[in-house]
Amino acid sequence: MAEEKFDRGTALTIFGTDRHEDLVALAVSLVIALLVYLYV
Amino acid sequence: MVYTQRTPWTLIMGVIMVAYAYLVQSGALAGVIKYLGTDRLTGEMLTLGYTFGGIAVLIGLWQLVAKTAEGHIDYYLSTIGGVTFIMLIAFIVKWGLDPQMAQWGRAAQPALGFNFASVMNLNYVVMGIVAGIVIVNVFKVPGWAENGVRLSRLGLKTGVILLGALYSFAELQQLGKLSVVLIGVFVLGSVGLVLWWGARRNLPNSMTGVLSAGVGVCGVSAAVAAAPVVQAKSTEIAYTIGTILLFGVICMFLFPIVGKALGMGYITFGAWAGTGILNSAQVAGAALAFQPTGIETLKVAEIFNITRVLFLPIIVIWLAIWYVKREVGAKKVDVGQVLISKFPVFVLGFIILFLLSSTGIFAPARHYQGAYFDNSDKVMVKKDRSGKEVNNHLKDPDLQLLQKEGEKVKRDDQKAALQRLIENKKLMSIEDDDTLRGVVNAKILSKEGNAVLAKAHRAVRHTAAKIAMFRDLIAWFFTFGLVGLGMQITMASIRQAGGQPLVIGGIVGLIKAVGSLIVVMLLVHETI
Amino acid sequence: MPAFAHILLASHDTPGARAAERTALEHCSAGGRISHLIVVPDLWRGMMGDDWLNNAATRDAYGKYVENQLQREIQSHIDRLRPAVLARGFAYEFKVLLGKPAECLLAHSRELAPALVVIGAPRPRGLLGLRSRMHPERLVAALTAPLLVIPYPR
Repeated sequence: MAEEKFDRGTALTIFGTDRHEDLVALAVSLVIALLVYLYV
Repeated sequence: MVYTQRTPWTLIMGVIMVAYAYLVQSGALAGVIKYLGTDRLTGEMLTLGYTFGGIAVLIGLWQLVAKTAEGHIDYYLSTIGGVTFIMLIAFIVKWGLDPQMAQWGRAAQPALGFNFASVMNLNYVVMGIVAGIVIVNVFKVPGWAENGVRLSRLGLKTGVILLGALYSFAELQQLGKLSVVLIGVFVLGSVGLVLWWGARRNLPNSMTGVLSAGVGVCGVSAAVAAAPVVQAKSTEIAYTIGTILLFGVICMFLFPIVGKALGMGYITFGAWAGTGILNSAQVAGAALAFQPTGIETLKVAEIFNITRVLFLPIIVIWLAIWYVKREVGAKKVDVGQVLISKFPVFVLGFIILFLLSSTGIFAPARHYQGAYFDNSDKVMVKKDRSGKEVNNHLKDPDLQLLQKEGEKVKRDDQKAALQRLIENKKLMSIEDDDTLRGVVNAKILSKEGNAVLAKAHRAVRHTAAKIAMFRDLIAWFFTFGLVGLGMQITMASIRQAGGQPLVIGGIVGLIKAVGSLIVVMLLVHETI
Repeated sequence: MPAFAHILLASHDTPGARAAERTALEHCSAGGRISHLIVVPDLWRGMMGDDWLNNAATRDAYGKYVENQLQREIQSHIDRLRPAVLARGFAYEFKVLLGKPAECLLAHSRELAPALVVIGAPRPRGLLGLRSRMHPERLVAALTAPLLVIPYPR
């Protein structure tokens, strides 16, 4: 199916595992929160 | 494998973005912006245009010139093309198509008798999703953009996590309670109904199983989770997923139209969409379609979405036990393992952001509802910079207009709130404000009447700058994610809708949509 | 009707395709060869829809399950057809392709250059099945071998 085309991740995500993606999403959110906290 | 595809497109799109931002900055596009009425968006046009354009130009140039070697850098940078692609679509839709459509809607109003753009909610979120669907079905997603499209889910998850910063404790508690009750009743109810009905019509257990999950919990996601558990046949999967996708796309258009026609408020609509729409991605789509300029509806709908995700493992376990009981030779399930493997970790991120913002680092506690309410004379009558006194109470002509149009308002609570506003020349409570915002959203009064109500709203609502920034960012993350998800919906799969799943799924889906509408209208109040 | 030494048979186990199978068996010449083409329609690529809530493990499990399920269904189809072909003394070979049915058939037929191509007629309206039609008009225009379309059994 769709995965065949990708070494890593699936058609919907570039990350190998879901935990990884969730952590990246959390990291992005925290960075944004920090930037908002500091500069807005 | 090397993921980066040598293409000039990333560079070209970057140049377009930067050039657009520059033209906006230099004032060359002032006429266009004035015509479209998008001057309040110029700020984000500059920031986003320069940021994404700049990155795309740099990376696009690098990918065109440098030789790429296999590795992490290649892998992650290969997403830039697709991200730029989605952002460019979002820019075109939000800054061009959305205001243009609104203009056409107004222009066609005399001929059609209604404003098609506003009745059909042709705003940037809906059109963005449609753009995604059109691109994947008519043109195919270009190869160099594929990797970036795979970031759409990250965008949605980040949006959900960031959303956590915008709830107050009381809000979360009450919405949580409401969502558990509504989702619990309707999810378990519709799963049970499908299982019972399927058994009565002697459908194969595998078909009933996958269909009940899909119709009951969160659409395609649930069908995907349940199919292996109940060992569904290939055609059963195809019929079920086709049916759910078809139903979802229809719901996404229909729900906001119905919601506006019934004059629903943000909370009632969010609760209804969160319960009644089968597919979870389209819940966010419908919420933003209903209220594109704010995220009050999205906040409600997402709580329901999160509750649904938490219900998913329960349903999978239920189906597994049900299937084992009915089929000989079916594999037994490990309940603990299902719970762990299905737990959505990003929900924890949502809670972390919520806790973080409860400490009050972004805004004082009462700011979380998006904007805090203050109608004391201290803020109603202010001195502007030149020392002139500005009085934000409504003036006599405004009051007369409201008095005249008051009879158009039919609901008692709305009538009473309007009366209080006229008597006091300002909004007297958060409840009144929310009620009258509902009147504005339902477009009950004339354009001028709505303008007066909006003025009264602005006079008492004061947004914390940080919260406003969060709101804009969240809307962009969701837009990005939803355009990307639109690119996952193929006509070829929607066309598979058929067979018993179409009949049963359609009817149960309809019962759920109508049933939840009735329950929400009866039980849910506009303020929390 | 004459017999053909090498027949390309496109069938994915629907009633219409089974009628095509029977015809292919009748019209293969002694010692001939039947090449069986099974197309997995590319609509399966879209069968995760816009799911975004599941974690990667669940999606993986689903993807593998669907592949295995299709595989099992194809295997049982082959297991049914192969003995019937061999019993009549013909050679049997099969090929599974993922894509649009008509394109796959054209590509495969170019590769094999069979003496005859046999397909079933499109399913009549109102009958249940996957919507992934092979339009005979397109094949007629592009095929180099003669094409035999078997009417849907009633």
